Amino acid sequence: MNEFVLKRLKDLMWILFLAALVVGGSRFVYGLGATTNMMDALPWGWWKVFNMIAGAALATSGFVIAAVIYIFDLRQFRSVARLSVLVGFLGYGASLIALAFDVGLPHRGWHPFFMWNPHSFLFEVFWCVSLYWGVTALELLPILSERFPFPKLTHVLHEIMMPFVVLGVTLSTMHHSSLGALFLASPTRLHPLWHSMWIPPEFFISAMGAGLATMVLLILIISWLFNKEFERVVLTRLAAGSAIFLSLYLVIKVVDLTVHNKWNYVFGADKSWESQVFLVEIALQAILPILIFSIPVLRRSKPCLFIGSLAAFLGLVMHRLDVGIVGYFRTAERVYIPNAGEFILSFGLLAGAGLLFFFLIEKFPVLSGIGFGCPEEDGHDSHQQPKVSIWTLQEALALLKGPGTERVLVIALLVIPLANIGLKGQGTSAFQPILSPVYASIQSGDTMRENLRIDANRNGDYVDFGHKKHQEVFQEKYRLGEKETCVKCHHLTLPKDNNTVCRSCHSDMQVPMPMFHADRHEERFKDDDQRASFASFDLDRRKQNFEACMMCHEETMIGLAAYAPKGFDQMAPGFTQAMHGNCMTCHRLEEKDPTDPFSTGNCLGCHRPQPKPAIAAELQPKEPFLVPTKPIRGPVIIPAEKVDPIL
Amino acid sequence: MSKSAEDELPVLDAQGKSKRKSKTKAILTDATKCIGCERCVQGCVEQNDLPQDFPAHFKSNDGLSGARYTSIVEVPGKDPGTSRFVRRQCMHCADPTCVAACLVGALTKSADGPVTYDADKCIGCRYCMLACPFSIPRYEYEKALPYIRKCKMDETCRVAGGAPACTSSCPTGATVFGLREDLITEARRRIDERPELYVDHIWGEHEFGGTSVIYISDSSLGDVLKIPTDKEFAKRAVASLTHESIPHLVHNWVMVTPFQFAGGLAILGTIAFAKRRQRVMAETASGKDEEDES
Ligand code: SF4
Ligand code: SF4
Ligand code: SF4
Repeated sequence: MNEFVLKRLKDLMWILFLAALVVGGSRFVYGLGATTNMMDALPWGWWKVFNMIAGAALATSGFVIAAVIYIFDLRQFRSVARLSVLVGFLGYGASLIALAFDVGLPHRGWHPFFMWNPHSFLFEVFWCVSLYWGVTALELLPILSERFPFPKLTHVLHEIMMPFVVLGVTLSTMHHSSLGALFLASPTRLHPLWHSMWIPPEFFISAMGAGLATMVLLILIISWLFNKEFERVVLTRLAAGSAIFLSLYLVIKVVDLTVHNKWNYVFGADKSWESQVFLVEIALQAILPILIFSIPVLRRSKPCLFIGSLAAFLGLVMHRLDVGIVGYFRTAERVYIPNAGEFILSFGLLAGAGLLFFFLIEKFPVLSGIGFGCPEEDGHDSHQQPKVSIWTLQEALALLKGPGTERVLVIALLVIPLANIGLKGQGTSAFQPILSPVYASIQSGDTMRENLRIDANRNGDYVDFGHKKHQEVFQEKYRLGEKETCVKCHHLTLPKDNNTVCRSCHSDMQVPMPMFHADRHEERFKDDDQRASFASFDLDRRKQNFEACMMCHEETMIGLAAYAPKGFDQMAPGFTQAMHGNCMTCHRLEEKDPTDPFSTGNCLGCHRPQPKPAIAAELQPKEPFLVPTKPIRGPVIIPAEKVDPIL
Repeated sequence: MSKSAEDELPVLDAQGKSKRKSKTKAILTDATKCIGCERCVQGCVEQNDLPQDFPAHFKSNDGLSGARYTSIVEVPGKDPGTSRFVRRQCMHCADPTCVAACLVGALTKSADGPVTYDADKCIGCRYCMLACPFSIPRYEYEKALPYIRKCKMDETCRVAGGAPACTSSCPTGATVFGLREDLITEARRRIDERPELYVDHIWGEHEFGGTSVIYISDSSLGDVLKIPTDKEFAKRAVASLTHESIPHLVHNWVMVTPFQFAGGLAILGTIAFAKRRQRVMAETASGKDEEDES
């Protein structure tokens, strides 16, 4: 039964891991924008916060157990010593590899060793984490040296282990508080429930509590998977230790909220959805595990231990995600949800670490304390073969020949769709062909705007407009400079023009709208006298309206005088009329020939019946013009009405 | 970099004389004068040869992006139905959080004001983006090898006359370049002259330890600039940020680190050594005792 589960679990891990390789590769080809949902407003995504920050906390057991055994000399934990160091080593390794995908320029990963900024908490984290990783690797060396016949090396390693453990534990305490200190920098961006000047100790203490609980969880799972019993006292002691740290964390958090006067964010006036998240998080992270771990009866029952340690595990992940991502939502005004590819890479790397973990505990004397894998001492010759087959490369190849072939094939077949989901989660679906009123020439990169494909209401019924041809005809016909001919159609240039769509003035599809904002104008008066005299005009009356303008714009108004009395308070036409007016004002006046396709009343002259005429080959988009599925900035939502062909 | 060119910079000076104490350059933006024509953006784009800014899911609503160092944001004005245009750009903080945050020191504060970015050092961790209280630095997410992008305000921006391209493109003088001291004086003068128009506050004068880009306006710009009011600071339990910079606020935690390292090594080492001796002695004396919980 358990072997069956173990086998399936390994298959699943292989699938995830291989899919992660594909997704990870795509990140380096297409970039972070196309493969993740990370954004400017929330620059730290799932990989950093889950894999690195939460992952480091969960791998804490490595240093706590090492400290307990080697420094405080509590020998009863010996059976899990190597297990915990291994968890630390693999956990940090997976995190660091995830980081290589996350940072923009991973080939410069060595920069912080030579370019220093000691004021940066991230600098400290980087140094401590990489040093600590090296130390865990050293701490693991005896496992290898015992497996192979190097008795001398083993002896030396055992002798010099102590200083390294001390160094590793110190580095650990440092970087756990520094990981929290990273978020000290966001006092105004991070939600007050999670930002506090006390984050560093909070991170440190919660990491120790959760790290021990994770150890319990892991031991329970391993002993179930491999049918091995650990001494119960180890489990209960670990749980008790975890309860102590978690209680300490809870106390600090409560004092923190009280001292900094933040309870109003939880229960009071400033309650929001974050409060609910926070309460769930505290319940999972601290309250539930503390209850279970501190009641001796519950602590001794395996299911309760499992629930408690699982809660602590999930609670810690939730806490780190809240601090690193969720707490920023409110000020970023955006919500970040990782896409499939981010999840696949993240869990795939963990699965890879898990496979290595299984490999090591089955082949090397990691759990020799409970008679699993190799015996700890004097056992270089007699290490027993593991009962469960594990997939080294050799074995994987052997499977191709043997009855395992189907299995490899199945795995391969499963990897493909998974990798596909990962690849699709983003890039491709996040972008769509451009939806602009004028798009053919923009797409094709035709800066001269030779041909415009105009779809004013964006319903797919477009009109092809020969922009260049009109320019030429205008120049010939009116003998005007190029500039003046443009003004014939481009009638208005507003502030923020590249954001101004026609509809910001012509706001109704049919009905003419007033477009002169007297209020806005008034702001620019020089003094109160001017404002007062302007206010004395009755702007609804045409004549007075004109005189009001004359107050300042004398020169301009003189020229308009003949025109103004009848037209100056004109309304802007409706959108439909305006769009039609752009063409029909000229075509109606000047080409009254009913046989002319562009003449008045001949709708089909421009609005060609379906299917639409093909765009000339040179105007076909050279590459897809990428815009997001969701409108980004000042979206203009235009109802999908049909173009009214009647002017 | 040439000292002489900098000394000759024309400085907007209210009194027509300059009593220069500090050489810190700054930009003053007066939202009441901005008409939102985005010429500053245009100037910056041309000067820095920025690429086309296509919309994408990773770009923010404020118009800043990997392809735009400055942008104009439209916010509701004082009266209903009116709007104000606010220029967004790097604030060039006096004590910048991004500089303190960058682990390789790719961002540096120059003595004369600008906060500059060294693309050759950056590893792309994006901590500067997370740390900047105004969320200014942007990232080229669209590229496989991306860099941080943000307003530079350094020599490469300066056009004839010594001012950056953005301020020299402004047709209304809504955004001007000069020495920070002079600009603060000028901002004060404008506010004092027309107290009925302006809000009596210079955004960026003191908050977060002061910035080199300062704003005045007739309605609150706190929301768009992401500068909280004194009350909001106090509510978040970081009241000192009204005049103190973030790096200064968290400085104590940085200082703890070396002590943590030395202390940790000393204490743990002593314990380890003592315990080991204890054990060795106990072992030589007799067997070992295992405790058990049952
Ligand atoms: S505004 Fe942000 S990016 Fe600019 S100097 Fe200040 S902290 Fe750095
Ligand atoms: S992204 Fe680059 S500039 Fe920003 S903190 Fe990281 S290394 Fe420094
Ligand atoms: S200072 Fe330079 S980089 Fe910044 S907005 Fe102005 S022109 Fe652009």
